[in-house]
Parts: sequence; structure tokens; C-alpha cells
Amino acid sequence: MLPKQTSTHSWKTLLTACTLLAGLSVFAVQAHAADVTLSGFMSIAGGKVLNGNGSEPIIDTQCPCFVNDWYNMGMYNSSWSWRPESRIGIRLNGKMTDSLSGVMQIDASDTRYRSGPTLEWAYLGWRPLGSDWEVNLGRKRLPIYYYSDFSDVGFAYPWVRPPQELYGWEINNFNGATIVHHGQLGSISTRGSVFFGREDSHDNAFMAYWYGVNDKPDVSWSNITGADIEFSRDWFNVRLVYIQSNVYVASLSDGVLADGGQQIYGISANIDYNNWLVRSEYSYFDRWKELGYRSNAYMAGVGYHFGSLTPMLTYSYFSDVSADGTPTWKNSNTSLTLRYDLNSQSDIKVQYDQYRELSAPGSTSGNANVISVSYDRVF
Amino acid sequence: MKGKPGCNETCSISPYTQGTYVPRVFSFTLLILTLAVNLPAQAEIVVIINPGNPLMSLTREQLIDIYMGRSTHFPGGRATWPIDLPDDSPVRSRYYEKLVNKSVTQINAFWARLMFSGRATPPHVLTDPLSVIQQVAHHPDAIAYIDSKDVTDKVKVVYRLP
Repeated sequence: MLPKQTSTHSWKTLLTACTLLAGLSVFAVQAHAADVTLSGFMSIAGGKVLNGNGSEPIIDTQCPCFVNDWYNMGMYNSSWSWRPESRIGIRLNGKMTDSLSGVMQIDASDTRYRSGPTLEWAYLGWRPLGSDWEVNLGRKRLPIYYYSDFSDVGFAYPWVRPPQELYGWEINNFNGATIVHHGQLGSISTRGSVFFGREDSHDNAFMAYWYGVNDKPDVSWSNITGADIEFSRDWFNVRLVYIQSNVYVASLSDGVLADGGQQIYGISANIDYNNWLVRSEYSYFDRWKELGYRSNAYMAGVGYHFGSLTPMLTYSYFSDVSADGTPTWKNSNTSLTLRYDLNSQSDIKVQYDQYRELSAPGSTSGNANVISVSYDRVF
Repeated sequence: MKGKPGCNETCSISPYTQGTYVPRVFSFTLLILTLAVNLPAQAEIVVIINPGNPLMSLTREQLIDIYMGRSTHFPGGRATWPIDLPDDSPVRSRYYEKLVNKSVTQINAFWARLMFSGRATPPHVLTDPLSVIQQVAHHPDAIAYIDSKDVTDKVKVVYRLP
């Protein structure tokens, strides 16, 4: 049994969060702002691997297994569990003046490798009244993917989780600055942003998978520079993103494991036409030049709203190549999800996942057929 | 009377069975007139703004942009202050069904994305048509939708959803 090695860190984060929260409240009150709103979301999710062929344990989880959350290393295996995927988030939105606002969000989950509350968002937003420009300073989600910003908010999407072939790397957030522009191109509305910053993660759960838990790997993405743009018209939406940064990984026993640049490219296109919904996304990570690694991932899904019931069929794919001889990881996942809207703020979902290893046997977590359910709500 | 199907008190006073004879053609005309006068008035939802706002009309696309968090301005540059009705309001569900063909739950799921990613704040919710009219009459940037039967001359209609 693994000790909850992140608990000290979590409590520190909670303390920081509470201090910031208190600070924000005081600031809000001092600014005579009546406009402080509290909102939140939760997902109670559980599942198990019905059958599969993975045999090597992942960290210390017995396989056959299925990684439902790479960032937090949440995993299902053959015994039913509610731990790897259930989560709750609280968001405080304070409006200090007409143009200045503050946002803070704390998420809590309890996966085996990361548990307790984490500060996901904490930033000040400045948007002069009537302006198309906006500046955000502080901690935000790094928008690598279309669903990055709200990947914890189960109620906002049609699956139990966004396809993990794309979603989930060692870094989820960053501290820095974002400049946003809202615009209009004829009948198309646009939202573009540029962002700069960095993120340091100690005892990184994702890297523990690759380098071992006892080594407590540290990860830093520094000099993060990126831009994204989203075009929306009526029922159609396209998003493009580019991010570059330096990646640094070091562990206790091995010292520096990686130190070099990366470029991330992504595109997603979504349709919500009458009762049809189509979701698609492609992502390319290029660390080839300095780190000898690159990966490709995509997903495509189609769903239909039959009143409160929305079935969705999704296919996703991941493959990577390493110059150092690490075997290629190639897998696909086909999922069938049924979402039922209980009322205007909650839903229940059932999802069946068919994970298939496409590269050499043992090069991925292994084939798995997985059942999972979730109850999602916002408040 | 209990258990007897077909005829009850209502049917006993029907003009077809007793009392004054009403010609069928006439009663059909009456029925059609009633439908023409009453039904559309109940079914129509209108979008209203403050009379001080110089806009005379909005297009469906502009309305979608404002209500789906894509635009925070009216055409011409004035800021918007959109107003919604509560989740359980039938006018709200009809409004979104006619505007974007989505259920209130789908709209809320859509807003969960914008809200939890800090991109936009959902429209302000007011509970009844009276306070909607009051706020729109009072607030120069307001925009709201109501059942057309609740419209008064304190507000300006800029779009009609049949």
C-alpha cells in the first residue's frame, strides 16, 4: 500500500487557497462589491474493469486496469471503486469593480496517488467596461485541449470523462498572464488569447508512473508561451491552439531525466446541430529535437439528443515514438456513453469503454473492457 | 353519473345537444377566430430592450451571440445586460428551444463550460415577468425575453419568436 505522499502538499495548498480565498473576500468586501458568487460542481463516479489482458501492475495497481485520469493517475481495475474519479469543485467569483474581478477554484479528489484539495484557479481579471480586451493574472488551467478548462465539470460534457487518449499530461495548470480578445468576423464570433507562464509540480503523479513513486519526480514547464483562437457560428465551433515551453523532469535517484523544448499543436471542431452533436479533436506533441519524443492523438464522437437521453459513440487513438528505444505506445479506445439529464442541473451517465493495445504486447496498460457510471451536478 | 362515459355536465349544456341551435359553420368560424386571436398571443415570445437603446431590431444570430455568451455588446457597441427566467419557467424552455433548439439542461451544460473556465457569466436570472419589465425599463443595457402578453409600453420589442 502506497502512502498518500501528497497529503502534506495538499494541506499546504489548502492553506494557501484559504488564505487567498480570505484575501479575495476581504478585498471584495472592502471594494463594497455586493457581487460575490459561489458556484460549484461535483461528480460521483465509479467503475471497474470487466476483463482485460494487462498483467504488469501500474505503480502498485493490479492489472487488468484502465487509466481514467492520467493527470491524477486515477485507475480502475477489476474491483469496483468510487475513488479514482469522484471529485468536487468550488468556485468563488468576486466582482470588485465594474472592470476588476477575481476567480478562485478549489478541486478535491481522492485518487490513490493524489488526494485532497488542490488550487486549480486563482486569478484576477481586468476588463475595462465595454472593452473587447481582457487581462488575467494568476493561476489558470493550461488550455492544451478544448475541454482542458472544464475537464472536471462532468455536467458540461457528454462522457463520464473526456477521452484520455488526448486528455492528461503531467501538467494541468500554469501561473502567469493571459490576454484575451473577443471579436466578431461578420457572423462568426471569435475568442483569441495569448498566454505566458510556468508551472512547477513536485511529486508528480503522472511522472511517477514512468519513473517510480519513490523517486518523487519533479516536473517544470517553464517559459510557457501559447495562443489559441476559437471561432463560433450558430451550431459550429472550431478551436486552434499552439503552446511551446521547456520541459524539465528530475527525480531523487536519477537526477535530471529530461530538459528540453516542446511544441504542442491542437485543433478541435464541434457541431451542435438540432439534436446531433459531433465532437472531434487532434493533438500533436513535438519534443523530438531535444528530447527525442513525439505523440499524436485524436478523437471523434457522435451523439444524438433523444429528449433527456443522449447516447454518444466515441473513438479515440494515441500513438507515440521515442528516440531512446522505449517501445512505441499505440492504443485505441471506443466508448459508448448514455447520458440522462435528471433535471436542469444534474445528470447520470453510464459508459462502456473498450481499450485496445495496438503496439507490442505489454507496451501499454493492456486491453480492457470497462464499465463506469457517474452522477454529475452543478450548483 | 359516476362511471358513465361520454356525457357529463359540460356535454349536457353543449349547444349541439340542447338549448339554442347554433349552426355548425358558425361555430367553426368562432373556433377559428378564437384560435387566431388567442393561441399565437400565448405562444409568442418577444425579446425586449430598454426604450433608450437606439436599436430597432436584432437578428436571430445576434440574439444567439448575446444569449450564448459569445458577445457582450449590442450591434453598435453598447454593452449588454442579459436577463434569463428561472430554470423551471416554461417561457425559458420555449425560448431556448425556438432560438437554438436546445433544452434548458443543454443550455446549462453549455454555460457550465463558459462559467467554470471563466469565459463568461450566465445571464442574470429574474423570477417573474413583472420584475423583468421593471429591470428592462430601468436598466439601459438590459435585454430580456417574455411572453408577448406581458409586454407593456415601458419596453421596446426587438425580436419575435413565433
